[in-house]
Amino acid sequence: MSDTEASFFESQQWADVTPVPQDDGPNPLVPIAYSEEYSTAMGYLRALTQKNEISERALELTKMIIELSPSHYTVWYYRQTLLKALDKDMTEELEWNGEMAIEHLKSYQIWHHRQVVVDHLSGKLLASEGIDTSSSPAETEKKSRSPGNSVVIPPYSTLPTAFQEHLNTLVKKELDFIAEALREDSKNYHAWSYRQWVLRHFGHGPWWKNEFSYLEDLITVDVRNNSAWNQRFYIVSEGPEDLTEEVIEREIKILNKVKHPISEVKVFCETLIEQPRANFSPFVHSTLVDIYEEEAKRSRDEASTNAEALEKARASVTMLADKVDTIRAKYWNWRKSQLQLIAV
Amino acid sequence: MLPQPYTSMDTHRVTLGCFVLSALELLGVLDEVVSEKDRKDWIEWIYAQQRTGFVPATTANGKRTLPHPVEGIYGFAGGPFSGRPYFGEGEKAVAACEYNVYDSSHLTMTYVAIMTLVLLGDDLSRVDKESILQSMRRLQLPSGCFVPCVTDYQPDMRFVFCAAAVSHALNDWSGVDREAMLSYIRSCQGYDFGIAQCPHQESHGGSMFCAIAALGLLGGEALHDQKTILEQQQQQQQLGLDQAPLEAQLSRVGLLDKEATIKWALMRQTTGFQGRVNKPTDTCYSFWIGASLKTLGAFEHVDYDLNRGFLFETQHPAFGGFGKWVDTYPGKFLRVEHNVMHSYMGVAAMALMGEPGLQPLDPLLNISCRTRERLERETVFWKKE
Repeated sequence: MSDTEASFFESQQWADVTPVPQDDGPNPLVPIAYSEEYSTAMGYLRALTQKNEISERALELTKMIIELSPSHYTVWYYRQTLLKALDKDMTEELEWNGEMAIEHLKSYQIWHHRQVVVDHLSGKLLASEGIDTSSSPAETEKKSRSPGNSVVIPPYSTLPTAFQEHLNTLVKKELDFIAEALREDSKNYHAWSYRQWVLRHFGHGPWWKNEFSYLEDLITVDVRNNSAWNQRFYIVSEGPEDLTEEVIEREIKILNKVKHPISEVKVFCETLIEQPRANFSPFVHSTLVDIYEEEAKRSRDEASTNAEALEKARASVTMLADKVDTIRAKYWNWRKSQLQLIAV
Repeated sequence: MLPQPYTSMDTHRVTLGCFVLSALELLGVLDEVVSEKDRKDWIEWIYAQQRTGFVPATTANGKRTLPHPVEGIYGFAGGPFSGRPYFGEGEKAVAACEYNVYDSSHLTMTYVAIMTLVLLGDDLSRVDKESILQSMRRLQLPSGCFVPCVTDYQPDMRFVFCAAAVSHALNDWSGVDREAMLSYIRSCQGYDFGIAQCPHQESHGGSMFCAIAALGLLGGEALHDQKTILEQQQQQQQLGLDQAPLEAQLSRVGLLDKEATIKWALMRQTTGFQGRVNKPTDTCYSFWIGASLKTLGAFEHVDYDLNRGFLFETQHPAFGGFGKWVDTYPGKFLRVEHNVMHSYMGVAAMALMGEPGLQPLDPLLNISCRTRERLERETVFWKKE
């Protein structure tokens, strides 16, 4: 144990607490050689949680344990209970949480804690403005069943302008923080998941529109970043704007920007396989097999169209099985055998 | 005794135990390696982690009463970290402990504890089924998804799998709204027909396993897809045949487009498998995606030689065990659970390919086939009187 931790528990404020040791029985399964630091801190935590003590010292203790064991599944909840009961400064909490999240990018608990804190913060903001957060009967039903209920924010357009500004600031701060985490790991599942929650939770504000340019930047840096493409699909399909012809046109333009001219998928792929390098792309042939197979299925009444589609499908599937995607040769040969079944 | 870096797994200890014992079982040496005394002691230790809403037989007729039916979440915890006293005989422990939120169970630990009990040869007679089922009803959300416990309440596909596996082990699905579960699984299939942890998120090999295994355990038509139903409907329409009510049919299946989901999974093979599009190859996905393909009936399309070759490359020459990536080994991991977890996953992935010397693996419950058979033959919830 470091000197700091040793003196931490020696101080007068802990004198009334008797640590509770872990009782692991005579011959436990998978015992762990805990550090002395962890065992000591846990002894105090057990003593406090058994009484559900609400205090500043408990809050300090949860921090110490979280730093030693960030995926502990009850200590975070204790901390959340304490933060709310003691009415702590949530901005400070977010700063600490941010440092932890960057250090432990793959911890479910850390990211979820951030969501709980921001949710609570949004509720407090609403309350301070006297905005009604009472929810519909359906929401109440949902809340009674779900331990992870969240604050319901009224539609963005109905909020007072000054309050909209508050939300804009809070959302921007969160999105900036997530962007920082994504700079460390651009495909971090937790960060993307939390990002979708932030966009959604605060309603239809300007942040949805800003998300487009953010994603364009990410895609320019790495066109193969599938997480960014998934997010692009999310904001197009779930965002505040309707899926109009213009929106579709704009999305196709994005593809132009990443240097892949695209008109209609089939024509596009057919143009590609004319080019020597692209002819070796399994993705192009794989897409064409799917397209030709559908065509052949749909043209069961027209022998010539059917035969032509099948012939092209066979050509691509053979290319895949024999040359460009031999790792899946068994699969492609199976697909080839399936093609026989749709010949008229 | 596991070394200090495993401290971060303190609340999930039973999971580590399960990985180790299950790997030994797949290697066919569990009975040889584990002594009779350890076997019995470990069964007691696992039961000591059970949290139950019932007090044991106290009345004259031996009937059990339920003291706190509503507020508690019951099942198994991952270890004794909350400070509850250890009792050698499970029933006494139950009487001694009042419900405390910081001492509650966790759905994943419940699944893992039950599987480990079966691995160790227990008949599950001390598992408090009613408490678990009642808690699962409270852990399922209106979306059909589950949260694992009261203190850690982020819902995702992992807990849908755990709920399905626990229901199967208890041979009782009354703790689950199955229609809602199916609806949730469908809602996590995106434009590429892979499967995500939550709706709108990126398709992922781990969540695919959880969803596909849950569908396999649900049984019936759960592994069928809506695309096929719609195509059949269209054909019948053209032929002027009577059609079955469409909505009802569509609500009974768990997939949108089975062929496309199979294709997504097969496309993840690089040598071993990657977990997402354009991500590095990682040992554990040979299991997650391999098991999914097995359940979907398409595992024979996998290139075994390349997959096997990748797994062998990640094996550590001196310590044994599998790493996450090639050239990684215990000391090199960022997160220590990858040692034990990835070693188990490596063995499990080999077992899926019928590697000689390994026990066949059940791709739904993620235990050896013979352990599953024992569950369904010798444990109290399955045994025919």
